[in-house]
Amino acid sequence: MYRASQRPSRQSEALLLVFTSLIAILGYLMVAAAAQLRQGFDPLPALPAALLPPLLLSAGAFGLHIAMRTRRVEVEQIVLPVVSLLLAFGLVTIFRLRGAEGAWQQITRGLLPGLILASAFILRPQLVEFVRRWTLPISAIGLMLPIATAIFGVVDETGARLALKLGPLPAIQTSEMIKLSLVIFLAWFIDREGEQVEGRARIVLGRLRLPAVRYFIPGILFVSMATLALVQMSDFGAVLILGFLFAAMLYAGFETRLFTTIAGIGLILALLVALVLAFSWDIPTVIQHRFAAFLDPWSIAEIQVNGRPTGITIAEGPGYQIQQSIYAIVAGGLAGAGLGFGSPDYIPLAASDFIFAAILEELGAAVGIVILVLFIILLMRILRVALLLPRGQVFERLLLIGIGMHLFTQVFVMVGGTLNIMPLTGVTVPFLSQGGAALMINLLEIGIVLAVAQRLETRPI
Amino acid sequence: MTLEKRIWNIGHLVAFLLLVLSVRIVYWQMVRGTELTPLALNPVTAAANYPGSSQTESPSAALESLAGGNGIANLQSLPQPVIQRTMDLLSTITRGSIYDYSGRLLAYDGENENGDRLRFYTEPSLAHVIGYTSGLRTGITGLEQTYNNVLLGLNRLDARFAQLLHQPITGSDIFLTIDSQIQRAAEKALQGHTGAIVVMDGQSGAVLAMANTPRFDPNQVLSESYLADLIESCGDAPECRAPLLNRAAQGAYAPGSTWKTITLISALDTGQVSPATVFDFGQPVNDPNGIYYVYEVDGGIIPDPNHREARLNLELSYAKSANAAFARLGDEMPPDVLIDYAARLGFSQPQAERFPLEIDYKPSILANDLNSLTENNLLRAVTAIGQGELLTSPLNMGMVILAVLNEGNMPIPYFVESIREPGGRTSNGPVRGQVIGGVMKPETAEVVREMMVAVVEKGSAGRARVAGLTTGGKTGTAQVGGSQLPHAWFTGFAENNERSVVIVVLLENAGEGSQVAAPVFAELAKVALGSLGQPVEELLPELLPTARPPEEPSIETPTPTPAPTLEETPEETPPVEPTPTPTENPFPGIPTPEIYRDPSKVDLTAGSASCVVTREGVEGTGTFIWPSQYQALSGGDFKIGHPGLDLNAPTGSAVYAADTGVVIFAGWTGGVGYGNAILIDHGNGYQTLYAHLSQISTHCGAKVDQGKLIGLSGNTGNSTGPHLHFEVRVPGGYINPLRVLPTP
Repeated sequence: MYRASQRPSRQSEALLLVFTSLIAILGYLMVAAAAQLRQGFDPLPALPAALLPPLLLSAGAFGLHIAMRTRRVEVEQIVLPVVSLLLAFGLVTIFRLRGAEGAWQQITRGLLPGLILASAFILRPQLVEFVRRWTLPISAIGLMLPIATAIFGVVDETGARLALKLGPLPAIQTSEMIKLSLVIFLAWFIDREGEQVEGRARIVLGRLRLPAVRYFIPGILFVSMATLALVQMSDFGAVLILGFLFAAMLYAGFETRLFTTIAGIGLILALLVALVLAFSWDIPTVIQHRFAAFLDPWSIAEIQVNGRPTGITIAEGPGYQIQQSIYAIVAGGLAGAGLGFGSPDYIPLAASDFIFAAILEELGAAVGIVILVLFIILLMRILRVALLLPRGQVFERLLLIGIGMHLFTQVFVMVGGTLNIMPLTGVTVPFLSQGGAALMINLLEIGIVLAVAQRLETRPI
Repeated sequence: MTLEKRIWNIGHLVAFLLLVLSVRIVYWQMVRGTELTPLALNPVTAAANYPGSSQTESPSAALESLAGGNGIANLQSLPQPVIQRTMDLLSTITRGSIYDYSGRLLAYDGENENGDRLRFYTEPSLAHVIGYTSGLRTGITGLEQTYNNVLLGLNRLDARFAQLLHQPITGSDIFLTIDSQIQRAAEKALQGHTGAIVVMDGQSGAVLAMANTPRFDPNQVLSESYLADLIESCGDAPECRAPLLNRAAQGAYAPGSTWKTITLISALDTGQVSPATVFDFGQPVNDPNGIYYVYEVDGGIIPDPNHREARLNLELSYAKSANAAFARLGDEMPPDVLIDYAARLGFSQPQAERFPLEIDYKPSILANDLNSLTENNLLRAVTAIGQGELLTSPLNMGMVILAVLNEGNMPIPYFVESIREPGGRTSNGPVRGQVIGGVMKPETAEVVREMMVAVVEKGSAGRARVAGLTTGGKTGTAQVGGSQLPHAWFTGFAENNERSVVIVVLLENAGEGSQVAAPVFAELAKVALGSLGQPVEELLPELLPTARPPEEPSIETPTPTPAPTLEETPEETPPVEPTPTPTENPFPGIPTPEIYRDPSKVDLTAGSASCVVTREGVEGTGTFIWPSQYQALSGGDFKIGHPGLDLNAPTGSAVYAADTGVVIFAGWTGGVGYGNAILIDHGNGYQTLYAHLSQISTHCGAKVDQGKLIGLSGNTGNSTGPHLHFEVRVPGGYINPLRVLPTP
């Protein structure tokens, strides 16, 4: 029941945050204890040192909570606890996999900057308006960064250029920024030009009413350059997500179904063309490997490039990753092997790409499904805010939808790859995986959501 | 479509896709779960299927490479994550035990001195049948491999759930058809020879015994280099070659004259001959060694020195093993007929029709090339008398007799009688009861059977005769070329009023079947039909394995006697005069015995000499609980001659440890009369005994907690009805259990 309150207390959110903080603390303590027990030591002395990171996480979450309270709104009390819980699971698992250094890295390079950005947006919701007015420069920067990364970026061990090093700062991965900037750009564009695009159909073929092509130029231009940049960075998961975001934004933005159908078909065609090119081209052998590994992770077929044998079998390459992931999933069972008692170390890239598999092994399928449900809840809440916004605020609605889709695609693509529903890509799971820049962007997005939510004049919670 | 609707659509799509992911998780765990874990639990298959390892076509081939060291290298090339997770999983699973037909323990999981989990095999003569398993160290063979999933419990739904919840799993137990008495007799009969013996029940095909020499000791397989040393130390000496080979099922021998049975069957069944047929052998050849007949075909001469008569009817031809008669049959029979009947009986069968046996077997070969058999009359004639290119195993020849005894229907030999889940549910063995029908006409089978009897009564197998039994069969002397002695075969059956058994004896390079193999058959027939499934030591004491070392002295020192006679019955027995021998009591507070133990009598339950037991640290609480839910006395009270209680527990009811302790005896007590019994030492001076059990669910050396299930009550041993015999022992003798048990 809606009760207007003079001093909104956001009680539900506070209670839920207490709950998530407890989970973070307990999980952290369990991992620390298990590490000691596994070696036969007494677990108690290690516990106090293990309290600090989860307390920091709780403090950060409560900080955002207080920030929302100062804004005197009761709305949207679910998003923050859900995100906090996901962060807790992620932090605990990273602590398990990478130890204290890994956890601190996650906190300092992702959590803190992200929380700062998020609180900036929460405390100053006008920033959303600022974003709208400065969309073009922001998009330009968002486009420049990946291009710069493709040219000057730091090459990592798989040969991809994913991170950009600016001066003394540590290398930052830039692929998430481009997705967010695409979302912003399309939201702005549709908000500004949408009616004109729909209203003035220049080409009439019977019942088909196609808009003038020039209206699609900016979007297509953006996507093309981004795709090229990402291909050059060898980040094909991002290409996939980019295409999906494009289609989703168009679907959400336009009344006429036709446009989105065209956009969808066009995108699919583009993807197919890209795939064909990839398979016949020398460079993206990674795609071939991953596709073959997806079809049969245990295949020991030798990978051939243009008919030339490479000496590498699928089972040693990306197939190995999926095999280990699947073994971990099966070994986890329903209740998991227990925090600290499984063997997730064998999963390559466990802390980032395959963190879901590590969670499934140690915490079990039950927790895995719970996490997926948490994501469902999060996305539903974001879409709900978009739904409840007043009609005129097209930019904000589309922005939120885009953010929701962004988070969703990250989850689906990564978990799908882990579970062998689709080929592996280089994406990471939002809030769970270790990755500074991605986490920062994701938390920024949550900040935007909470900032926009403050405009709701409706029931709390 | 409004924005709202579109948002709803997006929301539904998102929720749906994420739920699909959840389903996918469940798919991996439930649908593909057992396929992915046993891959790591069956190391031979895993090593074979893993990239980088050479493909091995069968576990036996893998075994050969194992012996050469390749197999072990393969296993070690399994990725460490697989090994690690497998070891974690295996440590939560208690592998099921294997019992023989009467319920005696053949294989069980236990711990050695170092606390390592090991598999113990109480009947090493079954090495090839049961095989062995030892985690990932040395692979897995035999029935342990065939029933790996069953023994690990992974085929049960409740175990799958337990695996999901990381609860410990107990595997199912399997009960074999093997009769330990006959098995021991078979192994004893093979002493001094190389070869194999198979004994099967004539009606059902249940395998009662399967023994091979040389063999290995499955208990030592885990020792570092046992297998390699075994093979190396033998070198090329024929008597110890290939100890890992299950000759009974995987051997490939020329069958010799035993194959004439198949020639006979195919000729009779298609009407080419009848019992009235008479063979005329023509002019004999005179030779300094005597008169013998020949059969000429296509320029080849097949000698027939087995009889003097110039004319013999069919029965006598078979009985005397007349080569000339059967060579002629082989030559004149349409080749398709011979090939067809041979295939029905397992020779050069099409792949799809191979027998569903539970152990690895080598299919028999009729000829290297069936086309050449069709065209080459000489080859066919020679094949018809059991030489040529024929290769077969003793098991296959035994199956031929099974078909003869069962009116032309051939029961498939099987090893597993039943499978018992930890909860008590029992199911039949999967191969039990399978029959291949119509191998020959019933009339043919009847005639062949009569002729087999004639072989013993009138023919070459006179030494297979056993008084009081009907016996029949066929001798065989398989030439192997060169200067080697031929293989001695006897394939036959024996029956009395109640039961029939099929016995196949093969002795490599031993001479004539009628001289060497037939007497062995006779010995085994006596044992097989005399035992009727009774426990091993009772009937034929000379069949006991190596003499038991003197019993470990208990608190007092009894003088071991070779014939233990302590009797246990639920009824009155002649009272035994007790001789009180109070000894120094190292356990103050323990009551003095009410009935003293007689030092002149050996108590086979006083502790097993072969059992490795660490008694430190285990101390009973001193208070006891009832060992069974049935707490009423069934007639036998605590009295002289019967120093325990009889509880009215029906067969199969659970028996629990009365107090925490260490099992120092678990097994068959032989002539002592306790049947299957368990003795637990509680460390505080008390010991408790549970006797007449139908199943023992623990093993020597196990630490059991108070209330732990240790077995099922039954009626074994000297007992006139199902009950549980419970004793409480103190140093020097026995006390009335009612003194320490709580009031019911």
